[in-house]
Amino acid sequence: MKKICFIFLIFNVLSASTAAQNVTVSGYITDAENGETLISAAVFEQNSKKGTVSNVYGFYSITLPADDVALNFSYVGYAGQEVKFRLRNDTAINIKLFHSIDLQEVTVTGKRSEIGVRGSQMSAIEVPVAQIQTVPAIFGETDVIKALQLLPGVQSGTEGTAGFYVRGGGPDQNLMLLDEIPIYNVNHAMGFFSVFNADALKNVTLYKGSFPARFGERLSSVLDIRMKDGDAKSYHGDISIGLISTKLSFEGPIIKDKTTFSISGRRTYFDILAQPVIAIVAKDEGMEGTTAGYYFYDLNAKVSHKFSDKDRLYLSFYLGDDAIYAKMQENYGNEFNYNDGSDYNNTSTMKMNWKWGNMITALRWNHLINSKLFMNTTAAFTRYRFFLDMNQMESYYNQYNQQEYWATTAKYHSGINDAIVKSDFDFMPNPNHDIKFGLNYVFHQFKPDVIAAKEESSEYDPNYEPIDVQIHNDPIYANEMALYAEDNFSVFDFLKINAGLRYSAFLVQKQFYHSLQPRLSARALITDKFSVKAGYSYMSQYIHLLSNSSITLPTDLWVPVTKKVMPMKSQQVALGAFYNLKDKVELSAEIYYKTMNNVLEYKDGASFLGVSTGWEEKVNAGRGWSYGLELMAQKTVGKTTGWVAYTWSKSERLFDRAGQEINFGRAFPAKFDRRHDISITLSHKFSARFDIGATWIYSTGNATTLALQRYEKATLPYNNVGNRGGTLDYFESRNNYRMPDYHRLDIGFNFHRKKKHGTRTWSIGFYNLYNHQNPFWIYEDREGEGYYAGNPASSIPGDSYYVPPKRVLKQISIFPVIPSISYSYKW
Amino acid sequence: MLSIITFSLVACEKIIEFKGKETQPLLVVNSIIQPDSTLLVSVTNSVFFLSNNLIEPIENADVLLFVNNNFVEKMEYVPVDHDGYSYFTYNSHYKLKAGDKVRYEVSAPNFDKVWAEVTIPVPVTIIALDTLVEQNIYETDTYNYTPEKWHCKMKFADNANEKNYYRLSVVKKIAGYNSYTGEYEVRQMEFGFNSNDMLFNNDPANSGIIYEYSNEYNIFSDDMINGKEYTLAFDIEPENGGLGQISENDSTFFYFRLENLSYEYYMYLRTLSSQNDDMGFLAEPTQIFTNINGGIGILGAFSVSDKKVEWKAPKSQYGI
Repeated sequence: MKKICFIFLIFNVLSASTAAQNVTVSGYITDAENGETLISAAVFEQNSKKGTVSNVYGFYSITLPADDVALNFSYVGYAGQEVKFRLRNDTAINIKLFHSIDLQEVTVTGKRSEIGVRGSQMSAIEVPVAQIQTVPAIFGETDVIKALQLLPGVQSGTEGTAGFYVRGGGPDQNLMLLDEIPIYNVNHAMGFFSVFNADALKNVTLYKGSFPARFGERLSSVLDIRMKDGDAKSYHGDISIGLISTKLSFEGPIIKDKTTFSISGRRTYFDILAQPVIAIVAKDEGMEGTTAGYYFYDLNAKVSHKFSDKDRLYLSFYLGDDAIYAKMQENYGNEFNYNDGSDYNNTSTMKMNWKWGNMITALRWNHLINSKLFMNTTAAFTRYRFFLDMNQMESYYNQYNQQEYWATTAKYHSGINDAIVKSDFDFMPNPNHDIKFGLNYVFHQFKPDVIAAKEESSEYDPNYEPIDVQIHNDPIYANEMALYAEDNFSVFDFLKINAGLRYSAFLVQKQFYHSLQPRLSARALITDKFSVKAGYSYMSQYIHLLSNSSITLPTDLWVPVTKKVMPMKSQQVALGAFYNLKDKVELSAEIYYKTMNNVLEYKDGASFLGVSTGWEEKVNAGRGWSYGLELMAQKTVGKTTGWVAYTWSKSERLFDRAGQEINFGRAFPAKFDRRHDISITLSHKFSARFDIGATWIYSTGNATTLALQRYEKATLPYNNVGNRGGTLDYFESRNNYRMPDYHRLDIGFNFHRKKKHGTRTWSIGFYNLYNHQNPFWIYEDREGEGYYAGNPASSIPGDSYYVPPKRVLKQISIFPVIPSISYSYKW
Repeated sequence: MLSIITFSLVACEKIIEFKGKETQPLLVVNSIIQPDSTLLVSVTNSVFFLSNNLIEPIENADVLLFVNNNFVEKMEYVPVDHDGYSYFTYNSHYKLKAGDKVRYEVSAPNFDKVWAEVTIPVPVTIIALDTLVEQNIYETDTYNYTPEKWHCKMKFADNANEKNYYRLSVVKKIAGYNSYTGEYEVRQMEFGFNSNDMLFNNDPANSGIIYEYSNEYNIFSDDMINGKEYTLAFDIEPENGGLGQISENDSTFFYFRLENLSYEYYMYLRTLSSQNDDMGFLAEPTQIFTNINGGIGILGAFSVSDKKVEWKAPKSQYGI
């Protein structure tokens, strides 16, 4: 604490010492219509040619000589504002920007000051939420993660799923932050949808490398998602009815210009619609009273309150669950009991309740310590839980008309809870320095798994032993902390550098790990429109995800590092060139090289279905490396917006440590290693009443493991067990075969119409428009029937031999052309 | 709408063209060695996975046997009749001992030369074997059934100086005169047992909410017991059948065997067991262990220690 106070003192002294010559202008930049803070809005002083950008809370601070100043405030899609005055003292100016009248055709808003040509940050992409909403999606469900999969350097996993792989890293190496709080399971419906409801979001930024020091604890990416604060001026709503879900959003002021709220909900209703069908089938099968279904829902809520220009409070909440439920009852009617000759009435009932999901609560306090020093302190709780309860009972009446029963109960619970406290500071002593520093502490509670089973019976049996067991791993508690400091500073106008250092530590079961992680990124401005950038980052990760490799299951478990399983570490270097074409199109080219150490792979045949016991024995640790080239052209203004992205990449793994060999200690392609990925994402606004969005994706086929030879199994020296002869498959190496290439076109049409109180939109979409059968899984099979053919070499009449069916390679595809339609009304 | 969703989730299957390179057949050499026996080596070819070609024995291979780095002999190709089936193998005349380092080199026309090496483990001493017999009684109005359950404990000492791999097995052997042929015969089979011992790694805590892992061959390593004495606990139900009728004069024995496996043989059994658990596209397929350099197959070795316990079958077993 003393150290922190000392740092404060230093900064205050610094502020005071510079105040003699310079004074500071600071404040918030907001949308004039709804009061939403604008992230990364540009502030530029014409005379001194100095500038800055607003932070994630819309706050800016610029220190200038006490003189006449002409401050320009701008944000793409908004009319700029110029403020001229004589600057004598520290001044607070809150700026409200209006949507631009001149840019009526602008369909997308976004600002890339720190990410584009002039910023020092590279390997990061800000995707405007408005753009995400125009990307056609399966079943019409707008999905943030699936939109990110279209970016260079980001690869999708199994078809249709929301998992993503950044620059050769695994899906567990992505830090997903919702209002700065990690969210552990971002998937609904086995990964086919993500938990992020775009209607509730304000800003989405993905970092793929050159990570600023304020981010850490994952190797491959940081996805920084910000929820809407809520309209401070008036009430707005949005209802959307789609094929599988309905969404409702509502926002507005509680106290005008002071307290706002924003609430969004989504629920699927496939289960509700299926109930009549299930009821009819159940009645036919003599199982009346049967219900079953699957649904998921998300609820995002946020309240913000402005106490003064110096203090603001934000309360964010997210709750989302997937649920499978079933209740089955079967009446066998009167049946004959062969033991005692009586008739009895047999009833069987089964109940299942299966639920999993996340909850996040975060309370944040923004405080302006002085005009140059901004503080954000957060206390948060994040939870992922999974539980399954199953009950089964068989009952009947015996010859004495007494009810006999046999009942079983099985329960399974697992999850992870985090309590988080963090403080982040922005210190802007002068226009050449933007210093960020902070600290955070996380108390993890890993609840790996609890299995409880109970069986009881009323039947008399002297040898019957009722079961009542509870098998569980004790919760594991871990303490994680981090300190960081970074300075985004300019050396003349030509060079801008973001240099940072992060120290993180992890204490679990008396095992202490720590790491000092240097971060560096630099931009050299060659011309006003062209820059080159370079970046280096060292990352460390202390938790692992136990999951199956192909799809996301709710049973996937997060576990901490142990004495045996070390923290993962990575180093990445990247180089890039950035060009701003006529202020309309941002062109970028980046190359990167990344090494990863202590990455985990499952041993051959190993899988995790929700049990962490002995997990260390089921994984091998090794290393990996990836490198690639990413090209992107992004247009965020005009009637036509979107991007074209191309990625060439290679990602390999090597597990050659003694006793931990995979693929016999030879290098092999990583899961979802693909050489080429191309995506074209465009939307065009024909008029205020009609727009189109389209996406075309092409990628090299996924690597898969295919046995190219079969051979004789050894005769084992046991006369029954295992000695079955037969053949075995020979897998020469892991991921040795490429599936066919993947491509598809998605298209969506939006028809808008102004109504009395708002705007209604009909959206019609087609996923995989030209119905390309993309590979999901390939396997060897036999086709047709075997037959007996005459043996021409034999002199015996009728002598024949068996011709077995032809062996073929088969492909399973899911998701053919899928039409979707939805209706939404905004007011 | 429901039909649209259902339609979208229906998987489509089609035949696709194989676009890789057709790999050439490899020499497949299989042999599992036991001390005090001669070496039998099976030599066959592998076949391309989309071909209907048969796996054929290779008759014209040169199989050279080396023991403890000394050339011993060129092995002889002979058909072996086993339960009415012919297995073509290369046989040696040399009797191998525990501790021998065995190496063979195999060459055949159109194949690369392959070789493999293994050291035959020495038997492990079983310190004690206890069997506690539990008599269960099932009574109904018409039928009494009193099956036995043996709670068995096998104590052994692990060698601290080497890495050991084990397999527990139980063999039931019935010896007596065949009532039809009048001839004396011995029938035997490997007998199933139940164990929740942690060494087998198949206790309920590891079984998951869905079937997850099996240890089909009851193998384990000394990871958790290195250099210590350990008592394995397991149960058998001796009346379980599979060997045909038992008559009153038959002698029935149970052999409780602790096999000391070479690393190669352990890995072969382990990967075979894992392959049976493969979950399709959910997990990476298992690569079956091979130690045949330049080819495929296994050269494994094991030695056996056992304890014999006689069992008097109850009358209810007679004639079953």
